[in-house]
Amino acid sequence: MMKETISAKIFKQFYNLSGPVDEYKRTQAHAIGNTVAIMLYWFNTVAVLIATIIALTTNDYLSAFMILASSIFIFTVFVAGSYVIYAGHKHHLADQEVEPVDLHAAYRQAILKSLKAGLVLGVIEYFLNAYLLSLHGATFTTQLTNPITLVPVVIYVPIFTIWMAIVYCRRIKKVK
Amino acid sequence: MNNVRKYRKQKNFSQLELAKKIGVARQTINLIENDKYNPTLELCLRLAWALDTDLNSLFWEEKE
Repeated sequence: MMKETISAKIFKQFYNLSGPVDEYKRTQAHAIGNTVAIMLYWFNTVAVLIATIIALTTNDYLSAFMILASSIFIFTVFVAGSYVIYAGHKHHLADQEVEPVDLHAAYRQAILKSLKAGLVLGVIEYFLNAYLLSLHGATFTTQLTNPITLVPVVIYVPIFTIWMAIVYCRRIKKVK
Repeated sequence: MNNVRKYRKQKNFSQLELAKKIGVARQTINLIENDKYNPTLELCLRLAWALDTDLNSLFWEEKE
């Protein structure tokens, strides 16, 4: 069996492709990618134009930059990212077909995968919170032991983990 | 409607078996059989070879 290249792995990960990438999946992924590129092209053009007008009329370059950077980030992550997930689901690119006997194992794998994703998010969020809190006073190492650092982690990580478990489990389809 | 399903059944292949033979996902075979996806010429040839037939038998439609 041929080993998967890193670029193929990134491609599969980005479009949530399951199983081997055949021509149908590749064609649909390319079509989704084209739509996202067009969306980003128009959004970036308009956002840069608006930010330039704000900067030139108010002379507040920092605010203009913050508006531009945050709007591009939000659009890319939430709008473009959601579209990739929606389109992938619509074209069944992420569907994972399993035999009825392997159904429980597949669900177990999906739950383990969501726990892993939750753990990664938890660790990143924990250190990020400590860093953000350290900007307003105490040192980074002190903030690591501060209970407030853990509060967002305790709130968001379980919600994220459950959400991911639902998403992964919904992708599992029983072979008829 | 193409004749992929007819020839597959003649050869006693399941969609999964045929998919594995030509290196695609089962869903792709299902989409081709239901005319929801137009395969490339390369995939058409692989289908024809796997089903021991030719492109005309699989995909040709008489002009109405």
